[in-house]
Amino acid sequence: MNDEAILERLQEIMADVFDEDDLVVTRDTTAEDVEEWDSLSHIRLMVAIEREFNVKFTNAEIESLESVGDLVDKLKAKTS
Amino acid sequence: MLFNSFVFIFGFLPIALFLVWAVAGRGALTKWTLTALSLFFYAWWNPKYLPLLAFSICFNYWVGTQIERCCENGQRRSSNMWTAFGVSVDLAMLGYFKYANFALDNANLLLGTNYEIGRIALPLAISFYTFQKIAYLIDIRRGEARKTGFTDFALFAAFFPQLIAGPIVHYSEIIPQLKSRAFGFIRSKNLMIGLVIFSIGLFKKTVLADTLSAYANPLFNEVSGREIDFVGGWVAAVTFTLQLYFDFSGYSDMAIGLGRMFGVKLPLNFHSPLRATGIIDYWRRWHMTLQRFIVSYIFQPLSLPLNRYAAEKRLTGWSQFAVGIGIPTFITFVAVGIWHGAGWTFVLFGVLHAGYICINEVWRENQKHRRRRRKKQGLPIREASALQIAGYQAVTLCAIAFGNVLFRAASVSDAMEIWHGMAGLSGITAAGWSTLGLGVLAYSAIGILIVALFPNTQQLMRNYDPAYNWDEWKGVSPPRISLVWRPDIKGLIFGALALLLGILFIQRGQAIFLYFNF
Repeated sequence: MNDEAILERLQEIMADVFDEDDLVVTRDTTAEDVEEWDSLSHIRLMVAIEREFNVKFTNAEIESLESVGDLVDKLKAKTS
Repeated sequence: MLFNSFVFIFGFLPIALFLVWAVAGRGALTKWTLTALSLFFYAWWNPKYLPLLAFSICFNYWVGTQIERCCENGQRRSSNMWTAFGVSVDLAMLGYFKYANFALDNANLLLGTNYEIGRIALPLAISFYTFQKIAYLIDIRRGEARKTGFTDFALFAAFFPQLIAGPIVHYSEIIPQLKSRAFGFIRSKNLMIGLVIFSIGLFKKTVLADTLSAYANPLFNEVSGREIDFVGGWVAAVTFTLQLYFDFSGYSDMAIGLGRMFGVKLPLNFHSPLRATGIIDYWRRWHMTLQRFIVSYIFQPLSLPLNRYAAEKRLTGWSQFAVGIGIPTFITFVAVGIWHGAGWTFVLFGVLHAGYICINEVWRENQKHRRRRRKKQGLPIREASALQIAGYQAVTLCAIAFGNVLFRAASVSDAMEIWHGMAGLSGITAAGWSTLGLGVLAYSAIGILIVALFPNTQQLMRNYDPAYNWDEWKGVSPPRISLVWRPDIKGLIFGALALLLGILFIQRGQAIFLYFNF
């Protein structure tokens, strides 16, 4: 899967979890850019992504994510 | 040794700065000088517990080495075992000194037995340095920290500005600073900025917090002796809430200022939490270094499998909320509560705040749905007005003050008594009115105005990158009255005045910091 495809699916999940229909997600998006993105919703987001991509994250991986770009890279590594 | 004592300000600190300056740039010698000074600082309080601190440092360094060796060899199981072993020993040590009496007392009460182990004194700072070590071990296991030489580790663990009551620092924040070439040189710019931050903290502690405690203490100490009415109850809750904030944030400013004098930037511990617009917001900004510890090592590891479970079982609505948010929040906040001390008041404090968080979360969800509904109907979405925000802040502050009664009260029944008064169920009495003197009104008003309108310490020092993680917080909660410190005549007078008043007020007597009890 290429970056764009992953990003597109992520945008859909995030729009749903954060309840913002017109959310635009890029590689540079971070938690600071999305008002609803905090430690409570972060876990829900991670679980939603796990189910969509059929992968599992460890606590360390979740901790180390700094931006959506990191997430895309992680997913690419896990699904390839 | 207290930061707010003459022996520290006029004795230890200048000597420590001089000694470090004298051996600056000598690598390990500079570091060991500062480590030795830090251990001396700790031993000043009670040399008996120095071996315990030394053990904690050596033991965790050794375990960290084992964990990393296993990780490098790809032995996942062994590295997990070592991490579990290290964390268990740390927790057992904390458990013995902090919770043995409490556990035994309650067991005796429950079983009707009468076992005695004597009163175990709490070694100073043990809750803080134990958490710092646990974070270190887990970070090594997660691959977020790389072990370094013992010289750097010992200094990271013992560094006196953060040793007694935080900020609880991560290895990855401090070690690169200690390894940098610039470390160890005392620079006049850092010295000045550090001194101003320290002075603001000292002022908060000795002038504001200690004065407020003089109003709060009598009310909390004599709960059973007198009826606490509506006025007395609220005076107790408000003055203590302000006292606690100025005490601990003052301490944290002093720690950050002292670190800066030695060229080390520590992370923020407070960012105007009493201005928060909700309880979730409050906990992001109150004792931030404890909070991030709790989120990383307790809340998230608990919440992740529970949310997976909720998703697998396709739970929705309240059952999803209970499993995904309710359970981890309650467990986490009870842990936060009893971290502060072994007592039912702290357990209940945790339960109360977990309840607050859940209410806040439900309310947030509702707001979201409402926004979505309005959007579908094509109605405009209004941002909260200034008045609404002030309302959120007032409600949050009242909830915090209400909860802090539990935090301060000697027993649950004392807290109940004060709540009874606050709810107006004890009426208003002449004794209650008499607690409302000019002093209490003036100091509470000053405290509330500072909280509501003025910049916090790091906002005031914003031109000088005042803390390790300042970048994350510089845009959050800007003050109504924007003041920025500059090294001009006004700035110097401000700093000198804060320091002078802070020192003058030490003369009233040196009160221990509230968080030294934890």
